[in-house]
Amino acid sequence: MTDNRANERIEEEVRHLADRQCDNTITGEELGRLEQLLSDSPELRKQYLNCVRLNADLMWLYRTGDGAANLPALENSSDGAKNWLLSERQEISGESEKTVWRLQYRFLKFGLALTTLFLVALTGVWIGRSASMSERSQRDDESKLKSSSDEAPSKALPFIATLMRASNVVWSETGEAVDVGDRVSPGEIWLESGDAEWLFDSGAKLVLSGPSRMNLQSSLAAHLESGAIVAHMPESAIGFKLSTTAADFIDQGTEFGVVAEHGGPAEVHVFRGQVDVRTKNNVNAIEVFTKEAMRIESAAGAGKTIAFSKVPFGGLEQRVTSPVHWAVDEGGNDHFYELVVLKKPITWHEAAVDAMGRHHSGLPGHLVTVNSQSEDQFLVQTLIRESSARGVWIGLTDVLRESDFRWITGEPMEYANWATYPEQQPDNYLEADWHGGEDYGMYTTFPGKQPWAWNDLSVDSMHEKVSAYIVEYEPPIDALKDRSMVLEPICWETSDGGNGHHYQLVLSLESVDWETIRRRARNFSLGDSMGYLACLETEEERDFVVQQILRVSGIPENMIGLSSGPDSKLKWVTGKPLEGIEFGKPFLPTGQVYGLMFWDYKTGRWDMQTRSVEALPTGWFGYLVEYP
Amino acid sequence: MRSDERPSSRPQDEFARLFIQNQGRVYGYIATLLPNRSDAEEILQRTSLVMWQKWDQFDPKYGFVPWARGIALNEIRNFLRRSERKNVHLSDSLVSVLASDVEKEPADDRLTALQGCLGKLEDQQKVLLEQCYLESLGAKEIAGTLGVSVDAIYMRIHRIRRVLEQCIEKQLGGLGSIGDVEG
Repeated sequence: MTDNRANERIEEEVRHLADRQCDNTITGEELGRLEQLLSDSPELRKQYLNCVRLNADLMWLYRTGDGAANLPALENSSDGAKNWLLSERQEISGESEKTVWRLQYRFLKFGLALTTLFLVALTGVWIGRSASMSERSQRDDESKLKSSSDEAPSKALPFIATLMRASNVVWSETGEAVDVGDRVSPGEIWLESGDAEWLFDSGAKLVLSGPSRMNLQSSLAAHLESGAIVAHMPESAIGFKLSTTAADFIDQGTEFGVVAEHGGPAEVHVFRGQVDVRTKNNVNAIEVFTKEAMRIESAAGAGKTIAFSKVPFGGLEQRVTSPVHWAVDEGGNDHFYELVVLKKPITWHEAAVDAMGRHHSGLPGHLVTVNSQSEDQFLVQTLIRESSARGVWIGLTDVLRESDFRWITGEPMEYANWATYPEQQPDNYLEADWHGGEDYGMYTTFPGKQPWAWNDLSVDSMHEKVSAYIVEYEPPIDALKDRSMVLEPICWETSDGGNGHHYQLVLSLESVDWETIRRRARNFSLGDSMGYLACLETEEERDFVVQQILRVSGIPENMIGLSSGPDSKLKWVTGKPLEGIEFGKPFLPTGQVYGLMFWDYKTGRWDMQTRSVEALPTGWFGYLVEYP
Repeated sequence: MRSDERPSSRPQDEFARLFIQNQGRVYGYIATLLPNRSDAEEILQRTSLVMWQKWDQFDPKYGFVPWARGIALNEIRNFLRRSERKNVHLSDSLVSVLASDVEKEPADDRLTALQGCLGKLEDQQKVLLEQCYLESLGAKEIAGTLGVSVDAIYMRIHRIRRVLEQCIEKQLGGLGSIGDVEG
């Protein structure tokens, strides 16, 4: 009896695990257990097969509409269930008559049969055996498919992908428009212009650029009829097949781009990893690796190696390429780097702020700092050289003190690679702009005369527009261990009209409230002087801090020693009331607030703002400590 | 030539006819070995492509379905090896053993039996199956519309599957109806 009960329990466990597998809810551990149970016992395998076969048959019946064919039984059913079902259907179709719905499923069944027929017909074309099949019969099949799919409700087909993002998209009138967030079933996508980012259920991410035409086939397959596409394939999507008229591209864990010309040649450029190219006449796959490219002229032709380039994708590749890792075993520092190339120029400050708004492994980035020749070479060879950028901002500036260049992170400048052509840099070219010089670092090159090296440039130079920058991300573990960086204190000299106080910026990644920061600031000291959150009581003091500290750091949010008490009146942490300072409008009406110096992108100005004490920083932020 | 004097069928017509006639059985075989819906769809598509590529090698004396199953199994194995999705699929070797178990089982018409059993389900059970299989709604979404927990939805679906399994067994054994089975 005990054995019987034990067997029953195991059988029940197998059924339960099989159910979980069918529901797609099974965990790795449960799968391991199932594997173990099934490996040793033919009886349990029989039990398991009964469960999964039923699931398979149900999928098939409802796929073809035969499952729905049992609906007439409902006509004699209880009113409650009938109404429930009807209301569900009305929501979907707007129809209230069951007969229409049932009819649709008959069409669906017919439609799917024709779809299969069409698949077969297409396959004939695909493998070049279509000589005996006339174009006319193919057209007939196409028109049948279209008419049947018009009649068949698409909801019977499984969803395979989601439209995640869309920018400036115009869908073709002949295709179906899709909204961001929509789940889609297999079918054709016609994009006249703009970019559409699809996330397949396999995890594959494809960004399609219009004009283009693509057929979504399954969570692991798509056919690109024409247009450009870039793809990021995580491990779960290895084996994803992107087919074109000329060839199939099978992902082996990679980031790549494909351009397909209508009915003709196709090119693949592998940004990272490996893609297998299979031409119609060559069953053996040709392997294409990182920074290699191949062009296939026609279905009958063989692939030809061509020069790798990101240019055909016009910056779209940035949407799928991960930051590049400079690994320790390659002599690197374990940091990650990302080249951002925009379509229009960007100022150094905008780039600095944008860099800090970007994240990798949950941590924000900053404009790159280059601390050695090997890091310099790595950046040039890995990121800059193959891009179309003409100039690239880096996190270097001498805005604090002329010719005293500093890194944005406060790191000491121990290495430099200034350009020597056409002039030795930095030259602080005075006519550059109204700021009176050039204070911001960038990579530049003059082909044949000057390899990629550094130049100083004004923030909004009229002479040379910069539309690219490099973001550097710290390795996650290090950054989490040390979540703040303290910059050197700077004195507002009395000889310059100042108050003799020192001001120090601390950068923090910790999401803590203003009150905690206020207490923390009081633990700072400089010599005999105890620190407190800075009180920027006059316009002059505020200007000094902005010009000498905040502009260099580029951190957009910096807490200062201002808050409202229970009486809602704003006052400094020194107890003095707030007087004579122009105020930025608070974000939201709120009770208790604290003050911050805030970089307003829209006006391009540093403003003093208030914010609810409940609003915690979400990324890098700064706080200013003052030492009297 | 009069139409009735044409050869009975061109090769591609014959292939299409046999494929459509049997694709449910091929799909059932694939989805039994790979229970994930989108994986099964993918393999069905790959299988149909390979079958058409190898159509000139097809020998009618071995039968269309066994031939299709052989190709499908090959595609499944390739898929499992290529995808290497650890902790998502059963191992390649176990799937091969399951495939050989399937081959050993006597041919029966489970699909027809299932259709009969579906007709005997309670209405609410049918609605739940439709939402799950036909409309591809997730358990979370269904639970939301019904105001019950996700676990309760899974439990109901599992119970329906049990009822259907037992009904099919009885039907194939020439026995009773769904009313004989506990829900």
